[in-house]
Amino acid sequence: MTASIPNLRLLDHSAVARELDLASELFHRINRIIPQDQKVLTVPPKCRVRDAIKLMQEHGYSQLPVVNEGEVLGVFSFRSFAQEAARATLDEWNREKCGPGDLTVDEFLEQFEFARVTEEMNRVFDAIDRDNGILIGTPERLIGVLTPMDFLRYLYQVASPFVMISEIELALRALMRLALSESQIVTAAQRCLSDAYGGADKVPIALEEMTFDNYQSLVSHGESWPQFESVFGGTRTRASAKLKEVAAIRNDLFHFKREITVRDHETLAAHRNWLLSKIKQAEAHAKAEVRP
Amino acid sequence: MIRPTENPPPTAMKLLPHQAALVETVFSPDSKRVVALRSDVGMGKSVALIAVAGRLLEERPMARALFVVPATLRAQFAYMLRAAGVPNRIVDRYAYRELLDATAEKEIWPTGIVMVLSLEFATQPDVEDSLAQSTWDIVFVYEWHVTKGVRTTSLRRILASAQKAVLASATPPSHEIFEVDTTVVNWRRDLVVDSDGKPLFTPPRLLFEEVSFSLDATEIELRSTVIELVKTIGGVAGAWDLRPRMLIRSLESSPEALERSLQSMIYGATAPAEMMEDLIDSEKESASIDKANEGTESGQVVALARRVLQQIEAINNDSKLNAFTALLSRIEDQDGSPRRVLVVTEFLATLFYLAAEIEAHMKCQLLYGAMGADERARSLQAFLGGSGILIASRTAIGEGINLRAVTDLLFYDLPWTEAAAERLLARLQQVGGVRVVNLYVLRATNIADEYKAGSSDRLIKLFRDRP
Repeated sequence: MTASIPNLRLLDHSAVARELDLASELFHRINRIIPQDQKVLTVPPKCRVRDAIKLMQEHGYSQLPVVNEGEVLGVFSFRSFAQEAARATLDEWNREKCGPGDLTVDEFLEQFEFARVTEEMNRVFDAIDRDNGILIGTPERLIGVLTPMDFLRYLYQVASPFVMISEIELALRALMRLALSESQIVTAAQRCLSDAYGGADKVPIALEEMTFDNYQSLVSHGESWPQFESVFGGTRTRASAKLKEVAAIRNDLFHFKREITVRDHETLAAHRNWLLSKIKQAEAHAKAEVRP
Repeated sequence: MIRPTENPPPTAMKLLPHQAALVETVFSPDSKRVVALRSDVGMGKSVALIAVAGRLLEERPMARALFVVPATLRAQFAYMLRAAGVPNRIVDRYAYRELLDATAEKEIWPTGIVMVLSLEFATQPDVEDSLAQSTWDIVFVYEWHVTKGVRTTSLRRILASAQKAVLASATPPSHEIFEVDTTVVNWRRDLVVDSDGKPLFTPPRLLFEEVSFSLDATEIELRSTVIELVKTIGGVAGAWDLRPRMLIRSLESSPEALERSLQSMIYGATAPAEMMEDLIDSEKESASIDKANEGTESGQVVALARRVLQQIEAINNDSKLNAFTALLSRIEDQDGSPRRVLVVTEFLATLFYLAAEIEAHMKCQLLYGAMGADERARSLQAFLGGSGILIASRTAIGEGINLRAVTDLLFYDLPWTEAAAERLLARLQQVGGVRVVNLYVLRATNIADEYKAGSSDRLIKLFRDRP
């Protein structure tokens, strides 16, 4: 197909939408931190405290926005309830002629700050620290609720692939050094990488100078494998497949080509665990050798 | 017979006659509010829909247009719309929040740009409400036949807000999602003609070959342990559990795939949803996907899984892989003509395993779901533009991929359903398809247990009986 439609002249009409697209793709802003599957749970002001707390326990929440006819009146939370309940004296409870659970949530409201989805993360730190949460949107249009745990989960999710890749790469180097001496590494590198680098003198000879693809080439090279087999175990194809898969994710991750998926996380974790088991085996083997 | 239109659509997209006719039908005042396209696979439904969207925005730049597509095709549609010069935006939960945040008005959906939503997201209650309350100039629903239950109701609500709706599917409707007042367009491969009135599609002749191999003693022992594990899981978790079948499938694919399945089991990760959906389809089960991932492993199951992992580690032979590489060498030496060999697997781990094995000797490209659209296009171009091998995950060979240049199709794993196999075979039969395509499957001959994939005999028969 000829892939073009001329004279649409449409781009100006969607400038706002495109700007939002680009900014949200490039920057880690509030929107990214709100869990994707978050369903905002709200209660009406006349909801009884007992029912609200039951709801919070069922969903594992520590606060609930209180909404009346689409407008947020405030937040009912364990803290707001405890503060108000502790303030009242026995006489006051007696005058109410009911237990705290019979009262309605609108008597225990606290006010959270609102933030927009497009705001920077650090803009809300103080509010979250103070209130243990922040509302996203406006009082008339509540979009989400953000808690410290959401921050923690998000930052872990962003950082963990990089951490796992570093563990994988360092473990791989350590295993390669267990299998080959420095001089053997130089020989293997010149044997495996000369074609790619256009001559033996241009080949990186220290592991720290090599790319991840270089490691994969070294390990999976037919002539080198017998030396690596003792530390990697299994077959050359299987070891090479794992490194190839890691290399593909690493490439996408470090060049920021795409978002890392749950499956990528699982793959990295699986291959990290594989290398960890090889390191442990090598350690056990080394200890057994030095034992009298 | 569907005849080509006299007046092609005023876009630069080069449409085939039947595609151009659909565009005309949608814009014809005589067509009903809903146009339902039922098309055989590989006839260019998506291109036709994109042409409709392009023409709409060309004629009415402030129109409001919506694409509802399966989640797996969302990025691909966005890419194709972009390639055709049609402004579009994928709307997921993040983008939806930004749309909500961007205006205080009730109407949040912009005009002059095509919104692309997954079916799953579009039918979430708050999104459905918002879509249904808007006024759409046109709503496209792609592969609408996959909607079931409450999603059908949701989709009807959204469609009710559209001045025009175009529904496209490769599968005949099993239920009526659209209203009675519908213009139905039927694209059948054998009825579509070119501008000279000649048949447009010339299906290739498939030369089927079953490549046999035998498992050695260590591989048979591994299989026995996996079956023991499968039986144990069956006892622990109950009949709804899909993991036993996943284990058998991965065992029959490659040691890498099996290892990943076992790791998922031990560490509690879940199987990819699309695989589970395939399995459910194939067995006509209504078991929920969520339920398949529940259940705690007994110590016995984990111990057995670890034993299998140790066995995999100790095995140095892979008979299936050996048969595969021998077959590739044979294909390469066949007749001196350039070969484009498409190798299809169900498992990503197997895809990398095969690539690791053959890349030292042969040129190969990869295609799998996580690849970005540009990288995917480069990979396909390198394969289709020359010769060599493309190793692809079956789910990645989806919409918009033209396989007409393939000379040899090798199912490293048999597709999990007949429908999946049919969809893939149909992709070979596009316009200008080659005359003969060699079709290969690899099959162990010395397996006699009851866990041998039940669908394999049916699939082999399907391939054998095909003209």
